[in-house]
Amino acid sequence: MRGVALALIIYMMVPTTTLAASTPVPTGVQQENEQDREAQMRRAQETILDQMQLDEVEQAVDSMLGENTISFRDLLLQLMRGEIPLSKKNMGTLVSSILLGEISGQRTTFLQIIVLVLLSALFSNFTKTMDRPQISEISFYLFYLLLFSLLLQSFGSLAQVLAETLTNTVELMRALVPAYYLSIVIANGTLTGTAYYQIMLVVLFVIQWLLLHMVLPCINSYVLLGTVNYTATEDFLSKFTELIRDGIGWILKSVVAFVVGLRVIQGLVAPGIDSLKRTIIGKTASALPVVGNAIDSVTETVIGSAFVIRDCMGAGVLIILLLTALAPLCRLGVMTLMYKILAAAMQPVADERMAGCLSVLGDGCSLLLKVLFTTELLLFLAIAMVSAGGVI
Amino acid sequence: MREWLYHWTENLALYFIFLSVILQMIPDDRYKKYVRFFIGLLLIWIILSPIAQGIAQLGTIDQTALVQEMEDEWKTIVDTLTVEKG
Repeated sequence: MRGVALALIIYMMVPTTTLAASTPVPTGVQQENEQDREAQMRRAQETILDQMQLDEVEQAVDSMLGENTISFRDLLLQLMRGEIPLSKKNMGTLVSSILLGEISGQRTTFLQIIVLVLLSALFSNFTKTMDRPQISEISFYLFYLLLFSLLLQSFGSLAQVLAETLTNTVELMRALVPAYYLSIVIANGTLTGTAYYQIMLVVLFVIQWLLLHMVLPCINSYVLLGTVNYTATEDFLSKFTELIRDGIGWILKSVVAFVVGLRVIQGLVAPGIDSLKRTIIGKTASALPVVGNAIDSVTETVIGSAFVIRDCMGAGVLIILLLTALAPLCRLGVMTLMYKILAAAMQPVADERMAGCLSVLGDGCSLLLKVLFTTELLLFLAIAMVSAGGVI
Repeated sequence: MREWLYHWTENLALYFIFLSVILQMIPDDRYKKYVRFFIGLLLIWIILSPIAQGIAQLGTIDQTALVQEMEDEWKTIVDTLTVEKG
């Protein structure tokens, strides 16, 4: 209903010059008419933007990226002018500063890990020279428990970062969905808008319930059991941890396939029906004598503006998602790499179980990274497929 | 669901640390394999008991806590979006 009301407001706002423009004019005046038309488009776009109530979106963006960092409305206006707000240089500086910050922040933890692993190797080699082999085992056990607590603490903070990012992303999308829905309804029609609404509902449900409440605890369990497994000399739980890891992988892949499938089916039907409805109404209105041409022209202006806004909004949402996910993505990527490098570097000296434990941590971090990737992918697909799939 | 999973993992991890301590404390290697066998049996019981419980409950309970949790979550999301949309 809001979409229809908004279209009516814009109809009323479009000045009478449109009526003049719809009647035959000499070619010299055509350029002026073009400019008028562009000005009308701009006015229509700003009216639609004003109606979108972007305050909640601004608040959500501020809470995620910090106060006064970026304004969603300004971002949209920039995109509408054809400017791309992310320059290669800015992105490079941002990514490198996040990476360097993360590496320097985790330096102490990594140094502690290296020292513990080396000390453990030293002690176990010395104690092996003694008569009783149990002393060597016990010294390894003590060092392993120290390393275990250190690693779990580090991993816990990473899992917390991911949980916060997912929660914030869901909050941001909840604020964004109504505004984006409105722009789709004006541009494509109610059926496409509702189809998008349903898909967004499913995506948010998947992120909130499946990824946050099911997959994340499973990853925590995987890391805990994987590291605990190395406390004993025998391998008891490796198959079980593999099962958990494979299960998480299957869930993530199935979720993407499910959402893409759902979107494709909806995308096949909804735009066709909406376009049919719109064509029928448009043709009937344009067939009216005298005012027919004017209605046709105004409809084109409004729908054209709505298309621009819908696409710019889609691009704006993608940019905001990219910016909010950048820091956790870099952080998780760096940590995955560092744990893998540590495991590889320590293997020649350290006990096999110590290297295995570090490798499990690396796997755990890469699973967290996969969850974040899947979340972003689902949202990107849900938004990009609407923007790319709406043909009128 | 989450609390249950954490509780179960915690139990398993604690049990595993405990069994590794026991394995360290055995003085003679001859007995080690018997103790390990017994510990392995206990481990199977700990891993499989929640699955067995779940299967047993499937037939008797119509609405499990899992389904209820799912429905609550879905309702929350729908309510929030509907209020904002309206």
